[in-house]
Amino acid sequence: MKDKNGLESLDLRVPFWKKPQIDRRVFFRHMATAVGGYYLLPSRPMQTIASAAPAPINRARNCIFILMAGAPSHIDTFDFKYIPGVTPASFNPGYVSPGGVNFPQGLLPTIAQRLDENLPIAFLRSFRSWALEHQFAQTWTQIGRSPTSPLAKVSPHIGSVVSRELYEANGILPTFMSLNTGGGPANGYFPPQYAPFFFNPNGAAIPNTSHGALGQPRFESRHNLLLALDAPLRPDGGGGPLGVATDEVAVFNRQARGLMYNPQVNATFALDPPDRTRYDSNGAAAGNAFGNACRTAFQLLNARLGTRFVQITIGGWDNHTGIYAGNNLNPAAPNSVARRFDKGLGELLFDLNQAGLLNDTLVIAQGEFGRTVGASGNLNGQAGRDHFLQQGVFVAGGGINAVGGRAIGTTPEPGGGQAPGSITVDPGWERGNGRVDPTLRPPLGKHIRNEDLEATIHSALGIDYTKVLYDDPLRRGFEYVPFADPELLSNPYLYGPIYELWQ
Amino acid sequence: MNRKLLLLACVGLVFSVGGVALAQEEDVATRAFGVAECTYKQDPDEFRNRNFTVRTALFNRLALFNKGAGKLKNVVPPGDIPRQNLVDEEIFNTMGTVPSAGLSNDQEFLRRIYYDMTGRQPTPDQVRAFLGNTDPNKRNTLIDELLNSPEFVDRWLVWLGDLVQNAWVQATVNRYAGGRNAFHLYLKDALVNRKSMRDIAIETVSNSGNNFSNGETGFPTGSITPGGPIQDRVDTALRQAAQTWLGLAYYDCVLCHNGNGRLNNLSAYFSGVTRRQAWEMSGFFAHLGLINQGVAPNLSRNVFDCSGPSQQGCPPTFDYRLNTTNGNRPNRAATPLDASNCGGTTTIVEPQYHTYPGFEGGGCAGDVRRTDFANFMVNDPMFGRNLANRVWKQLFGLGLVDPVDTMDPARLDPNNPPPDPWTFQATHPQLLERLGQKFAEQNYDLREFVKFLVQSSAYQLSSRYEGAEWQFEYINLFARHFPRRLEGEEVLDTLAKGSGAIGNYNSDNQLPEGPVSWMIQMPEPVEPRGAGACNNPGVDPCNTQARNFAGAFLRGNRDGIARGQANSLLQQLYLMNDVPVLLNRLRMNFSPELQRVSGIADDNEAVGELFLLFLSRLPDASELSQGVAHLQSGPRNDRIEDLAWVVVNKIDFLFNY
Repeated sequence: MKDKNGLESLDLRVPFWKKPQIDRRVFFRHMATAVGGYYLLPSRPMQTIASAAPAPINRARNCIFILMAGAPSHIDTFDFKYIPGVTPASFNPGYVSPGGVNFPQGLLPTIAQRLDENLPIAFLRSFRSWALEHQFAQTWTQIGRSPTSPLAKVSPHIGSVVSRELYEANGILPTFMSLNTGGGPANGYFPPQYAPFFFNPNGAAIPNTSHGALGQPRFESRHNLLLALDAPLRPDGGGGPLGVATDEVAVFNRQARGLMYNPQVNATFALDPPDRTRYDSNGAAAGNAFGNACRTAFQLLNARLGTRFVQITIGGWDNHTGIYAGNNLNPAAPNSVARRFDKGLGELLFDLNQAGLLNDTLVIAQGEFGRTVGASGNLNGQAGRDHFLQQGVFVAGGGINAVGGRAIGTTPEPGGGQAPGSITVDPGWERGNGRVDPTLRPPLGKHIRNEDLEATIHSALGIDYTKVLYDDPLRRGFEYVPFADPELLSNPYLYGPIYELWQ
Repeated sequence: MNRKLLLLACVGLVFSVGGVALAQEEDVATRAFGVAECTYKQDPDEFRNRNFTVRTALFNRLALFNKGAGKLKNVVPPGDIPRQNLVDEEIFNTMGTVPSAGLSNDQEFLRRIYYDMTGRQPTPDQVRAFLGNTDPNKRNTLIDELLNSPEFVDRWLVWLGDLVQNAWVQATVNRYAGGRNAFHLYLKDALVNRKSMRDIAIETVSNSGNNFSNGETGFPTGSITPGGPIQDRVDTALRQAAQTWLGLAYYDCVLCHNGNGRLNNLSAYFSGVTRRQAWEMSGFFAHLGLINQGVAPNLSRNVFDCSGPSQQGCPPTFDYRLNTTNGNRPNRAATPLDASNCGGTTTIVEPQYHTYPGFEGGGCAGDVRRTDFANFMVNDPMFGRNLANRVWKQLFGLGLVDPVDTMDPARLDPNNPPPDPWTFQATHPQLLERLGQKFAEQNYDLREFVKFLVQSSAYQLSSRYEGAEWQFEYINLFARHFPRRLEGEEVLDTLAKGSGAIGNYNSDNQLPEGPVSWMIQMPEPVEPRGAGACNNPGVDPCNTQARNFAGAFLRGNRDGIARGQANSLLQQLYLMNDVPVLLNRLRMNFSPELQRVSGIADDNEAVGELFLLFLSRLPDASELSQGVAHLQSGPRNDRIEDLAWVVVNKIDFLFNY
């Protein structure tokens, strides 16, 4: 008998994998209903602040967050400055995007092409980091608060907060996937289903979703025996003699079984050779790690199997020496980090746009801080750039108003009295203008901060960024955004979203 | 750099506790922000019962009741449980008429004590020997044997390393491999040689030296706090010492702001602590000197006690000054002296060790502040209470105070009941007090204290609760043993031991002993780091595969990620399908133990042996018949491999019950 969704009703007494004629939709639905709850949360409902929360921007469904680990030079990328005698001519410094921003078209030609196609791409140039140490600042960037702050030790990644808010009960794949990241901030104190699923895509299935060389029939035989032999400890519907934690194990086991030998899931992770080549800056047949991750991110969002937040990490930006040489910011080296970044992100934007996903997907790329600009944009003694607080952030999609390129905020230009790219001159957003007074305490400053970007991501995805949860282990209260402004722009001394991006 | 900024909120809030209105607080934030809604405000009952969440979570972990499919009844009146020591007196006398789970049977006890003492399972021969042993004192004999084994050191070194948070890379400080390893070896040596926990505490808090050779100075090295003035580092040093050795993490709060108005529903003691008083505690670390030696990766720190102002590596002034306007904590500016103080001025804080009802032993600093702090600390009743509570939690799964670093000095002394409406914080205040004193009587010998706890009937209760309905309130009574999921190290080492395919792990910078056989011997949970070549077939061809497998079970990183008990999808994928770590270990050609089972002609015995290897028990009738049927259904070696896989994917493999 079919229910209102057109799906066959389920016979719960017979394990679903024993009914080969069941179609995949029922398969997934059954699995999803089994994992709809988290058994270990307190029975009380979560409490939130009942204050009048500002209406979220709520324009996007998904977020792709690219962490440029090592920290790229901002005046060579997102806050591009032409420094005569320093900036390589190959960057094509004369290029101006249709929206009127200067951009190193020679270094990042594919992204420049997207600008020429009038895709919505913005550069936050009044962004300033809080710290200059890699580990510290990367953590700050990903958890959206100081790593020394209260609850930082148990704070979830921004993606885990998004995962908790946007979790799909019927989702097959984890809501938060983290590609080529390997570690770092995860779900903090949040329940495990909101944790990032760390994965290095190379076209094969998620690791451990097949039974090695032993194959599917052997696995099925083993798993059937397991369920039969272990049945007293995994009663249908829970209530096992060792407690609810063990019931949860049975649920996760069923979900894991559902991911195995699953053509729909495998197709999401398979990388067609033409795509691998297209996403690779050197046209390599196998592609490269970053390009493959970008294409996988697209496929994850396009497949709509539950994933909504994807982080991709790309290292190699810590160019203390020879920044324009070797595989650093070197257009002549197709395997350079800049060219790999350019091709991967450029093609990702193309595919998102073509599939109609770009407006629904907020794409952000940033490092953990910027790089030094010397007195006049010059390099250091090893022809490189060192750590620097001022940085630039790349934002695209998500319905922002940035046709053909747009800059939020300005920094000094070369040839003036101040070092180019050294400090925020015009904040470019109203909250920043309110923070200009240097006597203000706290000294948030007029710059865009990590916390503002965190608020922007939440708000863009329809999440109340002022929310505070009271289920943390210290019962102190976990704020999605610390010092969040609970009212729209009423308090410029606090953090809030960059509404200007959508105006 | 702003960190808390001004504390977010709780400004201008007036709390009324017990009818006494508390003064509104002057605060920089108030001037800047105006009056704002306090983010801490919530249902006072929920705060007062602040470990309610922990117990609810634990409740949800336990069986609500057995669905009664003809199981044996095992609950008994608490009066029937034999009293072994004061633990049992307190636990079972408090239980009243609530039914207690019965004592664990020998098989339950054997498996549990092996995991709790050594981190892996007994061998089949050891299981048989113990179960067949008729000596009525066999449990105590086994306890003594395990406490004195090298494996005890392996297992409890992980506990100790977690306690002091020894790690190579953390968000705020990098000890480098040299520092991490030296600290690890110090702790190991301390455990091997039965160093008193009191001495470990004193040495980690107050010793000097280079942290690559005097490993215990890795603890003050951990106080390095970037992005702020030196007072931030001083505060971190206090917070770490107080949290680790006294169970007082709330110092982290009052080092930013007064407790009043913010902690009124969290801690009776800390709601009365001012920021000035918190500084008086940090002041003991204002002479902590730290100088970098060498360059990365051989960057060590010289830790020492400053001898005067303007000394390199020291605070510029030879005291704790209130003169900061940036950094990780709100501005430090002039404040009036407290009524009770050790001198100082409005801008200079002299150290004073805290007192509270039942403890008058605090006081002023002498010449060497860190040494004085360490001495006050180990004579503070909170020291014994904290360590007793932490060891209790490790063995019982739930602290008498939980979470363990939220202890409230004003609510623990059974002779000083807290003021209305506060209640005692510990589930068993008298027990906690007596355990703290017991630990002190034992000169804080960890093995003696662990022995004391595991000899008790309370520890040896079964985790089954059959014949009565389990209630939420019974959790606080410890009316049964609480099952816990095995740690990542334990899962992997159990697989290795059961299959006979032993590991061969080394961390990136090898410790003097070279590669080791057991994951539990790694110096920190993110090890082994190094990859090696990953393309050989067989078992653990490279370190990171084993590390990833164990890491799925949430070993934490001794920094921003705590060790965790949560289950996950990923764990199930690893347990079912991981080729190098699990599936290959369960292949006949890689597993000496499976080969041995293959040589057992009798099918019942062969199946039984598999259960003994991995589950430390014999199969029940149903398991045995299904196992034998499968064994006989195809090529025998293949079927043995199948059964081994089934056994390690059983739910009772994954839990220490």
